[in-house]
Amino acid sequence: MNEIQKIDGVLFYKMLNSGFDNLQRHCEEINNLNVFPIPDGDTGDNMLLTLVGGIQSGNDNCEDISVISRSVADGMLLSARGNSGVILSQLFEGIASGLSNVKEADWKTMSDAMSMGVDKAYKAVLKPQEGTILTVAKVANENTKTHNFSSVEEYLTDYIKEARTVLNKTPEMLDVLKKAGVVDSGGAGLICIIEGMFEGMHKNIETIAMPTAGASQQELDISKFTSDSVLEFGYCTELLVRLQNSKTDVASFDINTVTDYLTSIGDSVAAFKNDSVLKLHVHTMTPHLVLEFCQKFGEFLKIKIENMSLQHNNIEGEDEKSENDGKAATSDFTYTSQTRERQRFATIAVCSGDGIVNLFKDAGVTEIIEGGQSMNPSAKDFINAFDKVYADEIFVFPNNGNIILAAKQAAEMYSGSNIHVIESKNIGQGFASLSMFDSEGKTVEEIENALIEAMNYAKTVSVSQSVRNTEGVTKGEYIAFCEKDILCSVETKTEAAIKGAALSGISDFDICIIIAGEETSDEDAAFVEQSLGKEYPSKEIFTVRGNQKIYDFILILE
Amino acid sequence: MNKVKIITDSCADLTSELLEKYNIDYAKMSTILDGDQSIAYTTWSSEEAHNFYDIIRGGKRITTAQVSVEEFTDMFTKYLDEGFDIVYVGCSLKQSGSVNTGAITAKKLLEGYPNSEIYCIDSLNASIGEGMLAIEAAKLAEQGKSAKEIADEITAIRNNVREFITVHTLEYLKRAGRVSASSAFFGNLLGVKPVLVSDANGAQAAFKKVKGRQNSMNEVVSLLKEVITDSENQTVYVVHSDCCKEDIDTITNIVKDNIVCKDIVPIIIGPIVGASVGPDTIGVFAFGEEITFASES
Repeated sequence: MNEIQKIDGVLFYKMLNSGFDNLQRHCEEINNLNVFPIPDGDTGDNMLLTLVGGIQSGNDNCEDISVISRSVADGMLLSARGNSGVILSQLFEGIASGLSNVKEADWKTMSDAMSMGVDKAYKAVLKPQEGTILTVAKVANENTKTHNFSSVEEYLTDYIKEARTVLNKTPEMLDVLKKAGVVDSGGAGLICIIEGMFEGMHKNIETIAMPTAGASQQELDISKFTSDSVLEFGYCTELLVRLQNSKTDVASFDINTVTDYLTSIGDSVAAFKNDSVLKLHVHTMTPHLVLEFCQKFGEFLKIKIENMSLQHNNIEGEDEKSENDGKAATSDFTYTSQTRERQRFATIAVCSGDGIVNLFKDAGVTEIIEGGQSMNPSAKDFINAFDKVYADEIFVFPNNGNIILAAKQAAEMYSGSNIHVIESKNIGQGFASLSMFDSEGKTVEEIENALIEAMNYAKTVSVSQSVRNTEGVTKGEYIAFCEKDILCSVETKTEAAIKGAALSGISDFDICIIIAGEETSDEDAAFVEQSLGKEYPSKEIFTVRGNQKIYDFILILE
Repeated sequence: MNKVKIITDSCADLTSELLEKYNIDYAKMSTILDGDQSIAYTTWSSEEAHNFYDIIRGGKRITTAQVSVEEFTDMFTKYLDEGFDIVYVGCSLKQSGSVNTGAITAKKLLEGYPNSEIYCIDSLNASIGEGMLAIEAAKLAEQGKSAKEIADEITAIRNNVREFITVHTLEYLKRAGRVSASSAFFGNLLGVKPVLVSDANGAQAAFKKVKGRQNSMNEVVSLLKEVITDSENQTVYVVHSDCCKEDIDTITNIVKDNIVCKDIVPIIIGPIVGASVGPDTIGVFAFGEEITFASES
């Protein structure tokens, strides 16, 4: 077999597709490496979906590795979901930076790029934990970069070996892994991807590249913008600009000057720089100024300028609730529906289970993103929601600790509003917090502090059926857990709920909200309510049908 | 100068003792249940009050009607004939149109009484908050002040009436169309208790959210304590719409433990205000610093 010295863009993309294939083959396995012995694992799915987003942003005939790695990274940033997905996207973001100066990469360049990836990934997490995907990526990189390899294959083989070694040590680094008898799922997922990439160097891989998003614009009725019409909404302006050496220093061109300028003449601003190509998006009344500005440093590869008032007039009268309001313009960037008034405040909650969705709607949430247990929302899902609510200050309530990073990544990428991610790790915390939302005569800081306080005060007890044997738990029993602690493991779900409530200190709280899952009968829910009501007569106890999967009961103690 | 008669209405929730003590009369509003109209007496017994609120708990809808032109005419005429000037301290215009009806009726009547005066004041309050202003007016009348002086003085202190009440749900108020609150206060509150105030414009406004009944009772007393003035010489009114004895005792003790006051007087919320706020409402009233909060909703 001919050993490869350098990887170009085409090979890189092929390797990624192979990485995807391998991860897909092992996806369930990785999902099952979850900390609690209940079927709530989705690390495999998250990383897969994150990776897919990256692959779909690329194409299989780009020879320049700097360009393709950049496209893939951009795509992954948007499709990132779950903590592992977000970290994976940051790894590739760093890798893309490391590859930005070359058309092909030898093993050393790849290794340096991986170092940058590790750096970026660590910076993305507020409190990096050892024993996770971060550790696997970092230690494997540290142990390989000092060696001397004769080919890319040799480098990757060694990297994978080091990664496996440290993966097997992760239970020693994180107690929860040790207790559950598993290695870290994110680390395992990463290894799957890299192993697949290694295989893809010499295999025939069919790539899953999608045609670039360039769907034809819906036919617009141009009579809806007449000689007397007023330009209310401006132009949706998207440009692809090639920086010119004759006009500017391409390498050191600062994208922030573009962002600043665009922000001064319009909104919904987004700007990216890929090597020598700029991708910009802005809603502005004066597109000619944007064109003039860009020609100072480059020339246009693609220009798309659309009259948003014409689009608006075309969709007026249609059902206001239609989800694709104003989606006549299809692009990588979302279209902001301008048919509603801009609100000062809005709340967004992540929910799964139709009853839980209703619970949050009843509590007055502005927008719901479906997802959580088995399908974590991506950064893009959040960005779409931000666009939809169209408000100055947006408060986000995740329902899972695994979603917080994606929400924050989306917040980082979004310039149209101030996003406040309330770090709720389950729907109990999310609901306890959202139900106290009150904006009357309060500053943004006061509102946020009140939300955090409400969240911190509440306790959530979850009940689910165990799918495997582990320390103190028999498969088939019902476990009640609060945060990271398993409280008890008993025969029936109702007993688990009642005992779990007692062990969580229900006597210290005033309110207990019982949320019944899909598999829980009304009788069982009523039984728990009655039992708790008898045992704790001074408490206010409410029962709600949540119909969530996986968790037979969720009890919120407030 | 004529002697002055102080009149209020069915929203002021003045008991027979208070009406007698301060020589105050009140114009009657009515409640409507199943198409039948009844006069809204605030001198009702606690049993009658209990039955009334049980009807609402049972799911029946009781609506209200403001003071009629006839009622105002009869009442004003009675005292005008006796040679009184009248100061009518009326329910907040945000809650009832009675003050306007009173003013229109008064204007017309006074044509026949050229030497008399009637002042109709929007109290910007309801329940005993309105009652407190009527009582102050009565004290001023006792001191021999003129109707105009009384009207001016009462008008100036309207926003010094401080009300903090808490409910289990805003549904009754919402149905009656008499609350200012954002959508965050409606829906299934599941243990979240709104705290309401009578805002600077006279609206019953959602002021704060508190978790749990006990906390909400602590909160209303705490809020009152922050703003009460000259508490040692004041009466703190504990107001409720047929709450259980425990709740009434609890809140009374919280007041005792936290506010030094002259006395604590319990008041049952009358039928008109009660039909709007619903049963199991509880709260406290006293004079304090001027309220500036005005609901944006």
